[in-house]
Amino acid sequence: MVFGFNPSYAAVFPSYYADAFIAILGIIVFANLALFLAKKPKVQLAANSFMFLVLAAACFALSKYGSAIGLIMPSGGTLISFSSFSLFFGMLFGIGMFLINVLAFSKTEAYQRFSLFSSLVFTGLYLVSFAGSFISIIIGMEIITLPTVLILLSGGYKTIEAAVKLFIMSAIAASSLAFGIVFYYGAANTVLFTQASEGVFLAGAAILAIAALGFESSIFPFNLWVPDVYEGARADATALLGSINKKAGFVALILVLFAAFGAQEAQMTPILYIISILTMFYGNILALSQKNVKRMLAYSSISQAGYILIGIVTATGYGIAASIFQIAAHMFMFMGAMAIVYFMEKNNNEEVDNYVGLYHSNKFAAIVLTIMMLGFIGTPLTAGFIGKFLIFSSAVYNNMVLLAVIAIINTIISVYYYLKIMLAMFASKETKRKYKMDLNITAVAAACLIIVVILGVYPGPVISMASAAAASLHI
Amino acid sequence: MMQFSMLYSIIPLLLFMVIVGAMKKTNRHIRHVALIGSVLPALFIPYLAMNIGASESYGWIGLAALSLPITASNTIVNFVMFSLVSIVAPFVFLYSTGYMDNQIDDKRYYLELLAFQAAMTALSLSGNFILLFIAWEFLSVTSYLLIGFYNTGSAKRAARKAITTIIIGDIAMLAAMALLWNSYSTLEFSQLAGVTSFSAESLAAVALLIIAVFTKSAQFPFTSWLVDAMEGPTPVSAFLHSSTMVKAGVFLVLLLFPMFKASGMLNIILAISLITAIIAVANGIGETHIKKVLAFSTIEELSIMLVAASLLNVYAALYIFIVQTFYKALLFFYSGILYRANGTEDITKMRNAANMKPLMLSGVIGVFALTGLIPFSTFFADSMLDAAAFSSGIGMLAIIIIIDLLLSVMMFRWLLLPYTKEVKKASAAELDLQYKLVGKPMLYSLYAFAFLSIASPAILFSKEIFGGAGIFQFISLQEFVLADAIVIIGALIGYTLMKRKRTPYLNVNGYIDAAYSDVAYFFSGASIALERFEYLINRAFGLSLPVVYGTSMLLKNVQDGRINTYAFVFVAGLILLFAFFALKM
Repeated sequence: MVFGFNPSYAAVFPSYYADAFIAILGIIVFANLALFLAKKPKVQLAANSFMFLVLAAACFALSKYGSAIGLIMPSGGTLISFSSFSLFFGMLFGIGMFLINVLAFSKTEAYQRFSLFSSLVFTGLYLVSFAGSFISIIIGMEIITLPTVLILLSGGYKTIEAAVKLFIMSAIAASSLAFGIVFYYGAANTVLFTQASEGVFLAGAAILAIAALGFESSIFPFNLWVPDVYEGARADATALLGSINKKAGFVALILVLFAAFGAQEAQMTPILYIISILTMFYGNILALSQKNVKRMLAYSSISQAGYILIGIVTATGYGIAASIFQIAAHMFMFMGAMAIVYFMEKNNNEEVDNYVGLYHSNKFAAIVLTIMMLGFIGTPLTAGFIGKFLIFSSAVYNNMVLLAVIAIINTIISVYYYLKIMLAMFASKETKRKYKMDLNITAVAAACLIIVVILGVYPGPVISMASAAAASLHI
Repeated sequence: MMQFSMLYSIIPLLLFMVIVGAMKKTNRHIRHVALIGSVLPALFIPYLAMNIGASESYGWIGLAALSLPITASNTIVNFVMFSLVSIVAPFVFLYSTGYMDNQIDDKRYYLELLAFQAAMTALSLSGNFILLFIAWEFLSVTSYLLIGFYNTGSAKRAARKAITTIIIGDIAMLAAMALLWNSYSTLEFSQLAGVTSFSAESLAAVALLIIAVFTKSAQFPFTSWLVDAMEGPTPVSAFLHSSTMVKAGVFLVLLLFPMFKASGMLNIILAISLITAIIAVANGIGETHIKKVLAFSTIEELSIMLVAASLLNVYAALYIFIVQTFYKALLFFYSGILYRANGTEDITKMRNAANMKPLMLSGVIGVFALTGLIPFSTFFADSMLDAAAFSSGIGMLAIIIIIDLLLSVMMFRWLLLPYTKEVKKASAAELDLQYKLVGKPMLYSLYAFAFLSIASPAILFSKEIFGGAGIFQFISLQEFVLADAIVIIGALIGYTLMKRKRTPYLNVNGYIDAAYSDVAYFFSGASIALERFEYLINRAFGLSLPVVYGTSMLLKNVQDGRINTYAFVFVAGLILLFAFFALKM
């Protein structure tokens, strides 16, 4: 039960690998820019999908399916490192960004902007996943957040408030992280990930990093912006925020905790323990009284962040693997739910009351949303069940029974508000307009549905990949 | 290149389910397509025969200490079960093409039947509890659908009864799995079979497993669902009773026989199986529903398999397990044809075909095979069983002889009754015509199984299964006399009983049903008493709800949408973290 990665995994590779990696990311952005200027949304979607999926496939191929690759640094040290962990998230983010692009697609300039900015976000995601130093973490987080602000801004008058809130809070978080890096340099004499020795500087760096990355991964008390921004943004942007940006925060958090702050474990474990309890309660209790579906899902995603933290708190290979699995599961569940919310939003239905009788106006939407909700609750045969099962059992295995009990109490509370939406959807209402779902939304919803069910029925391969990823970070 | 796997044998069935699902309801080729699908798993039999003892594992959930793979294995028992299912299934489908007359229902029927076969195939290959349990659950669901297929009131009741009884076993099995995992950290049959030491926990697990076995294999006190399950279509009954679902329980006992033996619980199985067998034959003697008599005989056979296993004669159990498949399917096919021609399921009101010798002969072969006349299947089983029973005491032998005797009384009465009905000449001609109109596919299946019933004792020559000493190790002179005497005396009593209008019999099954409703009544009474208590709990929840909800509303105000507040909380949180770290350092 220790933070910190095993140095015996460490290996070196020529530094031009890192250069090539950066170049690939650059190509993605410039290709998008060219297509943006050429005003070809369809080609932009095709190009983005191709590049994201190819990179995801490359990561999958490199991860060698199941064997752990430790943190590999280039000779001389640059921003980039490779490990099973990075490759797993490279794959996951590739698939996730592809789905987001499909979800947001329309033949308008708005999508063109979205696509351009999302390619920047993608670059940031890869910088964070493959981070070898704090510099790539901070640059990555900024490249993720600022284009997201621009995406929110381009959503029109209604979403400006959300954009400004996100911008201000991200500025605070970024400054906090920058300050943390200064502390880290004081402790370790480098900004590369290394096992620095315990001390005041390292502790300060750890606190500031937890706060800054807690902002993005929406853990209490750095998450007050989340509901406002999730609610204010258009649903496709909310999907981006909840299933991509938030997960990037977790990736960065796990990386720095294990690769840089291992020495401060004695202080960090109780803090994360308390934070995870507070985050769960905060998300679930506040979700109870919400009337707006997007806001409710924002709180639900906060509570899910609390569950994910449990696995990190246990600081074992098992717990981290459970958290990684839950990150993947929640990414698709949230995206699937948001696809339906996006569909409803397009028809001006945002409140829970508007969802009454959805089953009778669009069966597919109701079924998808129901299964996603069941996934959030953790019903068997969905990915959510496997994730929660692994997380709770990891807590029990590590003698944190109290944490598991609290998590279960939270799950019980959460059933109330998920059930509220589910019951509303299946309530009978005779005359209801039939809405037709756009093809791209249908595709994303169906893809998420299939992924969530497959991960729930046959999670074996993904679990073994997740545990390889965890093993690459950990002892 | 992926390795060739035995679990691929389910894929054709799933594929054909998709094909049938895509076909139009009115398409009259659904039955033929389904028939093709049902044949395909049989193609795997040679592959499995060449790889006896193989086993393969797929990671399902695997993390550190918690590893729950899906294991398929191919032990002798698995192989036997797989082969029986794969051989019987196509004939059941073939028989169905003649028996099921309402084409509109075809799609639903064949989808359910294919799903049932897929579940059964998966079950037959299971090498650990994970795969077994998944298949076991699917069996429960699909059998529920098939028993209630006709959608009449009684069919629905029967289906409900079946699923409520079986679910008891499902839950017992789940609990047993949890306890076994706790005790031995494994759910693999190969490892559990080698278990020798038992704690209270693992003994409880074995007891729960026995409950699961008894629910699926309809042992006392879970017998009555199987009799009611006769509401389903006849081919389904044939499938259910001959090779598939009811044998799942016995199959589990055979798979884990060393564990059951080591746990010392075989005596419980023995006692209850004997009670069940007596109840079954006592009930069957007076029954007039053509299929219900067969249902009682199935229960008796399952009991005898368990008795044989409990007397440590696994060969006998396995032998009955194999041959029972063929003659039981044959008898159901036969009874279905009688029902189709006569239009009634009451054996006192039906008449056998005067003009179809092969049909009559098939029935006779089935009954001979069931009761154990000399060269027929059960004779060898009886001879093995009687020897085992004799070695454990003359009393045991006496009980088994009585059961055998009652069984042959019951079966001969069942066989002979349709010959006695006097009919007018005109209606006799009409009945003969009805028999002529019986679908050819039904007759083909019948004749095929008549042949298989006669041939099935040849399985005793199999070295792999029975050790290769051949058929003669199971025959003795005493048995020659004893078994035939039992059958002949039984036949004579059956013949006399047949002539009487009403047969005196013991309706134990009725008493069991009455006891169930008493239990249900008791629980509803207890439930009323507990309602007060529940009210208190409800109050407690009711009081806690405003608290939680109030907190929610209160906190909602903190989240006022002002960015200043958020920034303030961010910084305050940071300061708190610093304070906490400072305290801890």
